[in-house]
Amino acid sequence: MGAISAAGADVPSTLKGFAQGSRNHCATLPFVSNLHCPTFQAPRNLSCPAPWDHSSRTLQLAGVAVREALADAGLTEFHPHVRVGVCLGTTVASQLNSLPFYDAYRRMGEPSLQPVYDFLGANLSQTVAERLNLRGPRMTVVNACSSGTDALGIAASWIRAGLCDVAIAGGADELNQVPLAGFWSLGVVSTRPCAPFDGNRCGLNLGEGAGVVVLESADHVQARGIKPTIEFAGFGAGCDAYHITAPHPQGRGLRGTIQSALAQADITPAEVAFVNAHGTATVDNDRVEGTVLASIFGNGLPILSTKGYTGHTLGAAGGLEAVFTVLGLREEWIPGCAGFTTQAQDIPIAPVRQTTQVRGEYALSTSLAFAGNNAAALFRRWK
Amino acid sequence: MNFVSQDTLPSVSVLGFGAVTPMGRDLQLVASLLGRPPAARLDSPLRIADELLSDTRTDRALRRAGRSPRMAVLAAIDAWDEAGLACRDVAADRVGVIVASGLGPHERTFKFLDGILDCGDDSALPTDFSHSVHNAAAAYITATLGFRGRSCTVADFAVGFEQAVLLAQVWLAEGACDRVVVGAVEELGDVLLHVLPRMLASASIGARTVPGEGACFFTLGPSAVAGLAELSATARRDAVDLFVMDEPALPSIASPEASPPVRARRAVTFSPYFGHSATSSAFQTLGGLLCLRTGRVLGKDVHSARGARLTACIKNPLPLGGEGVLKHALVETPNPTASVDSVWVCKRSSRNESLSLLLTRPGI
Amino acid sequence: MNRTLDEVKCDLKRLLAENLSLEDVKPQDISDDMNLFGDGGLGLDSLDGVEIVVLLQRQYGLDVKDMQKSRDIFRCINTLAPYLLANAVK
Repeated sequence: MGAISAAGADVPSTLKGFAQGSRNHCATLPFVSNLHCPTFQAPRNLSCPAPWDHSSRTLQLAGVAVREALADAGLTEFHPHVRVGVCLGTTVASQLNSLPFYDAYRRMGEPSLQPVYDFLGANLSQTVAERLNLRGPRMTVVNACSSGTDALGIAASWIRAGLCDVAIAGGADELNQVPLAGFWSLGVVSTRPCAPFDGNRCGLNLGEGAGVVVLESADHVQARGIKPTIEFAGFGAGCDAYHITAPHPQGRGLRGTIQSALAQADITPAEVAFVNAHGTATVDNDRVEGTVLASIFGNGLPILSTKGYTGHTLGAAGGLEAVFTVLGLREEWIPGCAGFTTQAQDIPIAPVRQTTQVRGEYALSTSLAFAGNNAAALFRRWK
Repeated sequence: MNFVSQDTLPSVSVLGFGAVTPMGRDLQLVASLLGRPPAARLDSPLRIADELLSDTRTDRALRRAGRSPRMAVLAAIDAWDEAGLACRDVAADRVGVIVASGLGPHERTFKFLDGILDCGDDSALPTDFSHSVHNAAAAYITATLGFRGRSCTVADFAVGFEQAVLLAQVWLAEGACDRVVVGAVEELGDVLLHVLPRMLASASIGARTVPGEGACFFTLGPSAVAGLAELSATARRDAVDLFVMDEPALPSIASPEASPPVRARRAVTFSPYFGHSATSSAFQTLGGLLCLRTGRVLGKDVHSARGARLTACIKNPLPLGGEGVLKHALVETPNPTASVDSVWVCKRSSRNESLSLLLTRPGI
Repeated sequence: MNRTLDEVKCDLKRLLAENLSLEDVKPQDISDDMNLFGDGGLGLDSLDGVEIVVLLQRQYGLDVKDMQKSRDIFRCINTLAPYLLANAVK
């Protein structure tokens, strides 16, 4: 696994930060803007040795997490016959949204085309696959806020279908002025540090980062002589088919998605030790998600809610939260929800408030996207 | 859950298809136009007329949507309608949607940027933002058609449509969906039209490229469900009746494992009719399907000299395993009017060895 | 703001008709007491709501802190126009 975000420059620092409950939000934006709101920023100076020194920050962040994940998996080289898939989610990196380019275009009509060429050379999964000289399927998933979780599901499906033996899966997104202005315009950005599931929650904070896991087929793991500890046990995905921005009020898409993931592993809700919730701290998301989680798992479910430490990292969220979920299973504890202080009247459930022990075989990570995509990834810890 | 391996990853049935093209939405008319030579000189991009983006069934629901979601929804509706009875009793949560696009709804992105530049970061318009996201087309397809299964938007500049078809095969094989509506959409906005000539002038393929836009969608089901054709991103043949080439292809790297030569009787392209874009192989697939349906070779010949060999051009040799060459060999048969039963949709060279598409008449 | 209540109502109707991509709706089709949101009126949704907030902010300097709490103000032209007249900065 690999992870970089405001919560930590790598997985061990993230774990340390969680143990201390430290929040690293930033009051100043990394670009000139008339907006004033906290954001969660990854380290400015990233270690990007060639060929990872790409002009796109999203690609740099992805590179850091991918390299950490491969090193952690002990996979720094691949046998030529091994097929390795790359499935990564993103939002910003998929869009031609360079403000300097467009500003110059409006003013002079013949702007430098370098931003366009940079954009065309920055497809996330394609670039990662090329940097690593990989042979295998690749896909850049742009499903808004559920991209990272969806990418994991797709990568797992590829492996089961025999299209590859290993897959690098997750997501990456940099902090960018355009989506910040976009979410601001929707009235869902908080001018205070975010408070997921809180009674006084008033919106999200944007963040940036990359979260990556390495999935392997059983055969490949066996051939390496490694004893696996965590299994990707189930996945569900589905749409609300309701509205371009608002989630379905009763969370109908999320409900079916969670049930699919549990059904794939043939387990009951009672067997899930904890759930990493999407928990953006918007009024709507947390109400819908909290209500659905309570109705499926009961009010006593331990909820891990991490956007108080990372902000909403958009395409990276599903990847980062997969890492956090696996960490919880492995370490047998989850951190309290940073920013949460008061139970909400409209949500029947609440995240854990302090470091909480969790023991169990299964944990779930849920993601709800803008425009109604829902995804749930189930992880299992082998004894 | 069914576990399958690449060797046996089943092909899928094409149950219906639809498109919004520069020649319109009526695919019977489009097929007849594809049987005639393309315009002799194409020096302007192939744009879709605004009238084609309007439909009384969808205008209200799409009132705020830009051109990409509109084109995608209309093509998807046509593809679903054509599948008809084969889809009538499928539960909404068993229908998946996959949309491939290279540039996405960039026109709306620039409109959102207008708001930022003119009025400030705190006064840009939310409707512009929410409609400028890459997955806007998929969001409208699922909402308008009521599909509640999996949805995926794919971003790629060369093989996005092929990646989407492969994913649909995987979803159908593992039982995640009973039907998948797969397609591609690209738009030619004003900014892109303005900068394209400069970009194409500096690229080696520039002189032969006519940019195009449009949407092309296919309703896919398991191969057990009888359809118009079988489609696969993984099947291989030694010989097919027809190559359909996404001309001109962007320079790219070939797979280190050269595929064994594939022979075809003829090679055509539909680029002069639909234009070229990041996902125009969806239109080449449409052209191939129309060849299967009409039983005739449509499109413009790429090459018909006897025994000609087409060799892919490798721009950058791969560090591992050296150069690879994807070979096609064109062999003329003594009976050039034989019907078309199999079509291979391909690019001159391919980044990934598994990403060409095979279309076959059912039962072949 | 140097406008009468009736003039403000006209301005609002024009703003809605011109900016929300409402097909074939002219300002005069919006009656003063017609529900703007939900079924059985103009049929606007939550996205139209946040769009109106930004448009009012741009044109009148109106700062609507919390759309949710302001649901009553946005119910119809009759409720929105007096609020705008009283609170517009420009």
